Amino acid sequence: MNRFLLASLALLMLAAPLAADEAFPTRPITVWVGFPAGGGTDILTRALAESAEKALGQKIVVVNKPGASGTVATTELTRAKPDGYTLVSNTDTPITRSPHLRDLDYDPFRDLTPIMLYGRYKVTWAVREDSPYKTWKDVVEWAKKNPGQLTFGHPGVASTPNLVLTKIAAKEGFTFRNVPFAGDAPAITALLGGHVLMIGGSSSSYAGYVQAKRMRILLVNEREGLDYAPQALTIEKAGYGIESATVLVITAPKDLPRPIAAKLEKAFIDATRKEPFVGVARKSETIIPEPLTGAALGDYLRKLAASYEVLIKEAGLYKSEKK
Amino acid sequence: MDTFHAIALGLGVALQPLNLFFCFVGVFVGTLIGVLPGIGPVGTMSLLLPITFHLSPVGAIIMLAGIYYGAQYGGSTTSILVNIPGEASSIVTCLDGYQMARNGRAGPALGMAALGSFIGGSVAIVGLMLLAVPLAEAALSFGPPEYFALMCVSLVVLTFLSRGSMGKSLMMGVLGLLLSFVGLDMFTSVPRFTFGVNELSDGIGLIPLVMGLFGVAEILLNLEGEMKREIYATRLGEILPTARDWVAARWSIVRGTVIGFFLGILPGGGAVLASFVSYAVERRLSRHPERFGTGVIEGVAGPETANNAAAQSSFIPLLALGIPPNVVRAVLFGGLLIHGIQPGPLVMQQRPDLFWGVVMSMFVGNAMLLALNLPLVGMWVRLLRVPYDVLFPLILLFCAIGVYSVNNSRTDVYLMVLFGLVGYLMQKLGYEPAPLALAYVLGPILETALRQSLALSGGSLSIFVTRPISAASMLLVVVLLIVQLFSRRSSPKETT
Amino acid sequence: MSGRLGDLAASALLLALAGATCVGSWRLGLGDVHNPGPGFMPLAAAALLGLMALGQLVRLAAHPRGAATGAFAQSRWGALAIVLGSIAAFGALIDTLGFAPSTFLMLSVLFGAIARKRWWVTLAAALAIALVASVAFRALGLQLPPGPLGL
Repeated sequence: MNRFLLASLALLMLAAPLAADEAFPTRPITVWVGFPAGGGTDILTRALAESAEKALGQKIVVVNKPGASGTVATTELTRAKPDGYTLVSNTDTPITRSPHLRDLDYDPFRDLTPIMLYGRYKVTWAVREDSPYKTWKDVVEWAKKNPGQLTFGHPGVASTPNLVLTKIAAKEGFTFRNVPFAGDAPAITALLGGHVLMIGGSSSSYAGYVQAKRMRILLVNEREGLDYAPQALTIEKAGYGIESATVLVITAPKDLPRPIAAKLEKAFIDATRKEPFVGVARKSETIIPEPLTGAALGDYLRKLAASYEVLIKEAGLYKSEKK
Repeated sequence: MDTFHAIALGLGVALQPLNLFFCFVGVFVGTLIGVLPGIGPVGTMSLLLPITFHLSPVGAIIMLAGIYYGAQYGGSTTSILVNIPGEASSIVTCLDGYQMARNGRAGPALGMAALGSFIGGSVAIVGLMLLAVPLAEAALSFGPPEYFALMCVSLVVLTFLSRGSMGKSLMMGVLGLLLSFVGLDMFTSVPRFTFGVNELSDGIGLIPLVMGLFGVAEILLNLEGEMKREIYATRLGEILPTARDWVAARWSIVRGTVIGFFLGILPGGGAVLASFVSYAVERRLSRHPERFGTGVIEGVAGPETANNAAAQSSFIPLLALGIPPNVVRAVLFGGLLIHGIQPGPLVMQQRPDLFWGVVMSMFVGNAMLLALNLPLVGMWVRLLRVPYDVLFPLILLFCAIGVYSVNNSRTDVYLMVLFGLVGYLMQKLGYEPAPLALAYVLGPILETALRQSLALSGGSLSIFVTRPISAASMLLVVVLLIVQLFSRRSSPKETT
Repeated sequence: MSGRLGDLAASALLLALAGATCVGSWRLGLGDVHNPGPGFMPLAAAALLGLMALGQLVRLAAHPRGAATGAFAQSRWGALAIVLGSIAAFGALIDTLGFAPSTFLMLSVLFGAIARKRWWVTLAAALAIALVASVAFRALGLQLPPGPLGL
């Protein structure tokens, strides 16, 4: 009799979590955004959340926890319970780049469960409309003849525009001066004011200025180019062979039960096909890539991290090389 | 289109019942948010962003903008009532505003703040309408070297603020600079003075610093006496500024408007700068400068007018050029993007109804804020009569909520406690918190501008003197330092 | 008015802080004037602070003036500790207990221990305020942690 009871209890205890999985979610889900309110990542996350609420049947609450390019939010995520109710939406930076820049409190691959990749930014390089450089070739030629005179503004030393340009400069054989700014907006201001000759950043920030004929885009990193600047050279066509990507991902703490993860993945995949996310993504020139989830996403991020490690080392920013 | 046509178009949009409703919701919520210390408009604005997905773009922007400048009005309220700056641009209001409240003149202080803000804001909007494009272009000519020079000027101006020992104020200013360096270095991603604490990667945070140094410290100081005593003297019958107040403050308002309007255009930090430059100017030009810090109406009227004028004129870079000068504007920027409106130089031409509608609704919003805030003055004054031993736990609760909710971080609460203790010790020993807080705001801009300038010039320091604006500013620094040194010589030796 | 002992201690403390910061800045890497490293500005500021603090100390030592102590004569250290401690506890507990319970605890301590109200008034007021605040602030859009009670 007692053994029977014990056995039933054991079965019940095993079944309970399963039952919980079945029911997931039973209360609102919180998504932390590692970037400030109003920025590209924040807006896309909110749009995604709104699109995903129906599929999940629960409210998704988006909370900003900005700090250090998303690493503050990621660190806190690793301390949260892996029950599917706490997630983080970030760019890939805290996973693929920050670990190479400094010591972090988490291991990006052991301490996180990747859920879904939901967006990709197009990175562009631009000059002022009235500048003498009409094409990318012009810039490169001028830079070669005037070593160290090309002033280049960017949103951060470990940002894609800067890392890629460093590599391009090494291949082409020119040097430039990199001037960091606190984001795309200050860099644009500096360009328009004539304080720097060229800037690099995400295409969504630049679109309005190109349309207003204040800026000219010379290079873009994505194969498909830019709708609003069709004449811009792509990295592929330029023959540089540099893979770079800035992507948006949803992550959860490690050891998230597979059934819960699967539910989240499905819900977010659906969300990327619905409004308002689709509209917001389109208007901000954010690519909605093929869905990439779970282990496949983990592999992709590992590869991306490796390629960034190379870029970062070549730029002299790797953590162990600093004094 | 000509201005008259534009105004008519704008009014037509702004006065539509639905847009009036959004405007009201915005300013009302903004005021509440602003009154609650620490809780900034950004959180609310971003929470409401999804709702704005479904609104018309004009309505959405009107509401979001209303929240922003509503919060500005509310921020001065806490500075005056409980010595807690609602935001960086209200720090200076604490200096004389809170003293006025302690003297029983909270009503006139609040009233003057509201009225000055209205005047400054309205004039700035007119300026915006007439001069938006040329001013925006002029603002663009401020690059990193100009910002560095401007920060140097600002730091010197800070010395004009000290009430007691100049030496101690200077040291607090430098300490403020040091505190601002905590965090990740922007240029190299190297953590500076974070001691391994992850939450410090972005720095200490202005809110915990200021709420601790001003708000919590003040309460700790007040614990000493008999708690039931009246912390705030009462003077019945003075709910609004008197005629004498107006006479004293009229030129402060004029000067504040001009200062605020022009400084607000500079992307980044305009309103803060405007507030303490105005305070310094008022003190310097006053016939009784030694009374500043004891509760002088000019010390409230000038800075409050200036920071509101700056808040309005800071829309110029956003509307004319599409450049969001700070985080708050970035939320608006995002809001516009959502509606498929690419903020930028074309907005004025492509969507004149949006542009002028928003501009006109700023007038409407300012008027609504005045109508909301003036009657509230009476309520606030009555609130101050609550016995302090009941009031202070509530103030502390507001502080705790405010500081926590910025980043949903308990570390911020701990920091506030730490700075509360520091602020208490400081004031006991005669060190002032205002120079520390203001230098803390300026520090990052100063360092960033310096290093960017040197990156631009390839290491050459001559960049600061070869460019006209920065050269002129450096000259101004020297002039101001000389002025300060001479005025110190002639004033009586103060106790160290 | 602030007491000479207090002034000396403050100046000494600032000097020590400046010194420690100088060392820390130097370790971060200074670069040079043409290419400042992460430690450059902190060192400059810390050195300036150190010099000023030293100047204060010298001046105090050379011209003794005023009462020796007095700054903290009126301080109620116990009350200070309780107030600061209760706020810190609020921060520590809010994520685990939730907003309303943490608020309740903090207010109870403040009303009871500092304001010295009667115990049932304290508890009732703390409870009421905690519940009202919990509803009101969330209505304003703040995201306050719900805790196990959902409050």
